[in-house]
Amino acid sequence: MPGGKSRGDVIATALARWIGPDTARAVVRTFSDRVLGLRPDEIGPADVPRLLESLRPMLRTLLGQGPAEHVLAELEEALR
Amino acid sequence: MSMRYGWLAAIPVAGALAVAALALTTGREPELWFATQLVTQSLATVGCLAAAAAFERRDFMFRAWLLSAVSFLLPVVNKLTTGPHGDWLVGPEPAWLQVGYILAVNVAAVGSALLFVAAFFRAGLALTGSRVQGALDGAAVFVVGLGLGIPTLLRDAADALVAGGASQAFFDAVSVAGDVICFVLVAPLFRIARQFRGGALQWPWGLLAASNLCWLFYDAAATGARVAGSDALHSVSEVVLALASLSALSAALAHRQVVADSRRAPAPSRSEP
Repeated sequence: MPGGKSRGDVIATALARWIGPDTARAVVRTFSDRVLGLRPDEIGPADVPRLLESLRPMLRTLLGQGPAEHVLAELEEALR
Repeated sequence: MSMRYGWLAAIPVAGALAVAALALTTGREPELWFATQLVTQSLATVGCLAAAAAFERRDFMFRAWLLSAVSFLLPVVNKLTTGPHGDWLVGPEPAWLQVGYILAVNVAAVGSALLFVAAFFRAGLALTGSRVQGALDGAAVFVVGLGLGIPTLLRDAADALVAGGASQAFFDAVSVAGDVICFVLVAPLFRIARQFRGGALQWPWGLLAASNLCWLFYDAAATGARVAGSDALHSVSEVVLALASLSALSAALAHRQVVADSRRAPAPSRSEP
């Protein structure tokens, strides 16, 4: 892995704050496979919008609509 | 962050200890139980409403916390309208009102617990863990839930039949039935909390599971106190009621804190280019 963390790691780290590290890693693995057909370390810049979109319902349910949008916006910024 | 949630989790323990200390130092008069129930259930109501207010009305968790607030508010209204020495549930009021009240309280409590379990699956998450772990969880529910809840339920139902329906035993039986269902939901609530381990959401789900667990112990102690005429068991039931109500308060405050924290979550560190 050159340089910093993979996009999958960044997303998992951000989600871990709310749903815990184990579940966050499982969520990134499951959703990247289900939505993109990729492993977390294979996620490219072009894949990010679709993956974040797939995480929106989960975050909206657990954190509410406003906070979910904030978390997603911060993630989008970090993954740009 | 976890320090703050730890303090919230200490509230129910401190509250229950305070109730126990009051019982030991001031006696076990109805006025004391009236006051402790009124305070703890009012606090739980306010906490649940505060948690609901942290969400928008269209949010799934808004409905869950609102239902939870209703399940605590109705007993508070009951107490405020009757005072420490009366109970319109066993008085001359119309039976439909009494039955409607007790059903509303239990439907709200069960509905709320169901929504908290449903939220996890609605979020697209799935319970993980080994078959052994699942079997152990199931066994724990069976042993505690059925071992404690069903005998209590049967005793209350039998006493209700003897008393001819609208008695304290009838309302206890309905209440225990609701609490047994809530207890069955304790296992998934605890498993959800365990799955959120290391994350902030473990606190609201874990504390809610603890609250639901306490209600079953409350039922068993309250029925035991009624059947045996035991003041000591009655005191235990009141301490457990405080623990259950204040656990719900802490769960609500924890979820409100999670929502507040997530609104100001800093951006995660950048990824590789």
